[in-house]
Amino acid sequence: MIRRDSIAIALATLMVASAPARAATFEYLYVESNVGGSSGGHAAILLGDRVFHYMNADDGSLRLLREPFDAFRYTYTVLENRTVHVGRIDISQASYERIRDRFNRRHLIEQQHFRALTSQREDAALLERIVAGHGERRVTTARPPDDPAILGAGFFDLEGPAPAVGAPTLRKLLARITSAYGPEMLARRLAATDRALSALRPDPVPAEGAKPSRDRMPPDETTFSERFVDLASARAALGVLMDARPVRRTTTRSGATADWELTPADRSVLEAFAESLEGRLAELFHSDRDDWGYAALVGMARLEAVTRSLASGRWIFLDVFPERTHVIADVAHPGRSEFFDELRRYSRSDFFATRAALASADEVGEREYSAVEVAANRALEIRDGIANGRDIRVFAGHLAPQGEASAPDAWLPRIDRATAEPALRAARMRVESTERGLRDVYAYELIENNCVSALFETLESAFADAEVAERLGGRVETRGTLNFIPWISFDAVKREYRVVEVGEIPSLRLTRMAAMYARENRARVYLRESNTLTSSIYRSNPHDSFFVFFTDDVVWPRPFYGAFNFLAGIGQATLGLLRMPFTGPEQFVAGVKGAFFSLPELFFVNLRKGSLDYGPSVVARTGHVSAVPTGGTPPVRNLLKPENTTLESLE
Amino acid sequence: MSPTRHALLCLAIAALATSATGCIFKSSTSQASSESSSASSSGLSRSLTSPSRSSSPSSREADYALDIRDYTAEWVLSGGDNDSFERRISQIAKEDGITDWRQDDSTYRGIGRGLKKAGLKGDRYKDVAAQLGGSDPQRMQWIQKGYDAESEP
Repeated sequence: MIRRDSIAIALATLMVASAPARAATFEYLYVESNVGGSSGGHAAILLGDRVFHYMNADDGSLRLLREPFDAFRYTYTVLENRTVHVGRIDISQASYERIRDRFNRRHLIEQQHFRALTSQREDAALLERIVAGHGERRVTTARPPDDPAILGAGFFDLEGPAPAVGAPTLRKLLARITSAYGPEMLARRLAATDRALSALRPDPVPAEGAKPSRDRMPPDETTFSERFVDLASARAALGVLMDARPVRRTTTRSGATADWELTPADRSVLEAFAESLEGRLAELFHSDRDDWGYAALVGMARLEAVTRSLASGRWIFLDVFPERTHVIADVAHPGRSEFFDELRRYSRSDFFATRAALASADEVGEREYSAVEVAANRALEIRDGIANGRDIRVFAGHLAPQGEASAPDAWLPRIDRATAEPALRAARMRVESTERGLRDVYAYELIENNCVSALFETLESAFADAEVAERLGGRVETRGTLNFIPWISFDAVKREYRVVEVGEIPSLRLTRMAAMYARENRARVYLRESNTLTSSIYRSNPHDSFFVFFTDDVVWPRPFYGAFNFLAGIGQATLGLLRMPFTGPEQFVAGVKGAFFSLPELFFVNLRKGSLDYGPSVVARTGHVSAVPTGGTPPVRNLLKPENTTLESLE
Repeated sequence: MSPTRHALLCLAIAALATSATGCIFKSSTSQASSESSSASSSGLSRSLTSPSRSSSPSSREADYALDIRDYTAEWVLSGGDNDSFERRISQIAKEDGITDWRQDDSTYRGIGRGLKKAGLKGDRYKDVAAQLGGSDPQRMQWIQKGYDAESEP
């Protein structure tokens, strides 16, 4: 039987799930505070299944992120244990499209600004190499920072002697190209590429241009390093093909279990893909596009991986990970086994799901193959990391195979020192100038340009000033008000905008406690879960400050718990001070922070909720949330429908 | 404002200011030693929290098509050149996992949508479409489909 309090509900998740059907609404999301991340909370806009929000990046800039709602919800409600408040705002279809366009456009422009900066840094790095006088020959895997990468070239050994026999796959491709375009085409192209590389010169650096703006694309410009990368990629692709250089074994991966065996359906798909890829590669080597080299290098490496798969009867993939990536560390930590078990299960099921999609696809192109390639890489990385207790590499979203390599010195443009040195100075000045310009536009500021004020500025600038109130129901002013604070902004949204529904997605702890209350003795649950020492939900997290009592689910006892937490923090800091010479400052710092963040609790304010190093994402994905209508605004429509709700155990 | 509320606000602001890290990137991961992540990939930290799953292909493709559309419209309106257009499209495609963007129908549908969004019509539309589609019949067809699917600006 379904309990009333467990179904009274669901609001925010179900509101969100139903959003695409009601396109003329969007959601304002206010994420409750937690310490360390954002003491005033956080805010975001949900449009369809995409969340837009501003985050303070390591370089001090405030960046607009666009991500799937699932990922956002998992981060905040599970990992950070924070409740998300949702306000649904009614707007016209035209307004919805204007807002979505506005956020998408700003996101794109911002990306272009920072891409341009990266290119300019690569210009400077390339000129540094040239000025350095082509010192020691470089190995292909150790690239200095900002050195422009030749993507795809890392899958092959570019500089060793040509193999005596060569890779059969590439010899077959070579024969096909020779037959189609004549025996001299590749040699002519190689010579032309070498000449172009040698003669490549940096363009004069333009005088300082217009200041960057969030609403204007940076000028389109093909930089020195971009032209170099194009030519070097083409050079690498031609060299690999003409020598039939095989893919380096260390850049491919596979599994030994039955999961990785090819089924007849897999085999049939791979044969078709290999045939079409070979044809496309033949065209690429005759292509007039400038950036063909990267596509050709990855295509050849994939062709060989597919051919090896067919020969061995097992899936073999390129290692798609970039050389610089984030990792999940401390994999062997015993407290994380549940998380890793889940990761392994999900990544494995994802691999099977993408395989099934590939097998049933009408046509197998790069997008379909790449989906399996990425899923397989994630699954293998997680499996190997767990098996060997080593760090697990992770990357954002989707990824084309990287295979980065540094261009051999022999390919560098022949530029004399007298030309290269002034060009390097100019390139460095340009980088500084661009960094200054971007700081002016994107620098995080606590009030004027934080995650809330930037969000409202972007949202309301989708319309002419006079239109805002009509389109949204009102206007939220962040200048000269406290609306720049996330929790105050949510009140302002409810007051000013045309909010038709509000709800909450409770944090992981609150969600789990609700389920426990429903099944167990309430007093026993409360006593067990009210503190960090005996809680079955919270696990000690080294990133959290020291505290004993949770205060996010209580109001009146909060000052008492806060006082206890404060004293416990002081005690911990004292102990940490005494032990500091032996164990380092961590315990002392955790105690001081713990005491500090207990202070608001003395005044009934809860900031700290504890966070999880890792969390069971299944909770967030299946959406066991309590529906909590909040008062004051129009009544919440309960969108829960029994037929589309999963009421499985949260344990 | 009541004194209590005022005090609470001051406390909250003090905590916000003291932490001075409002809305920071948060990830459950640590960075590979002696390496730094690329600053150009703004979405990085966020997706790390769900490392076991690929994002759904349809939503990924939709984001990609929107980016191509928006970039194309900007490019038309700013009068950029073909070389830089292809280079930027190539960059956007690469970040979506596509290396051979000329073979991907979403690219050309996005371009078609961008041409409509930029307000191109009649012969001007046909000229630019032919220029970007390389007069390849299949690509021209994809561009036209994208153009037809986009609503009037």
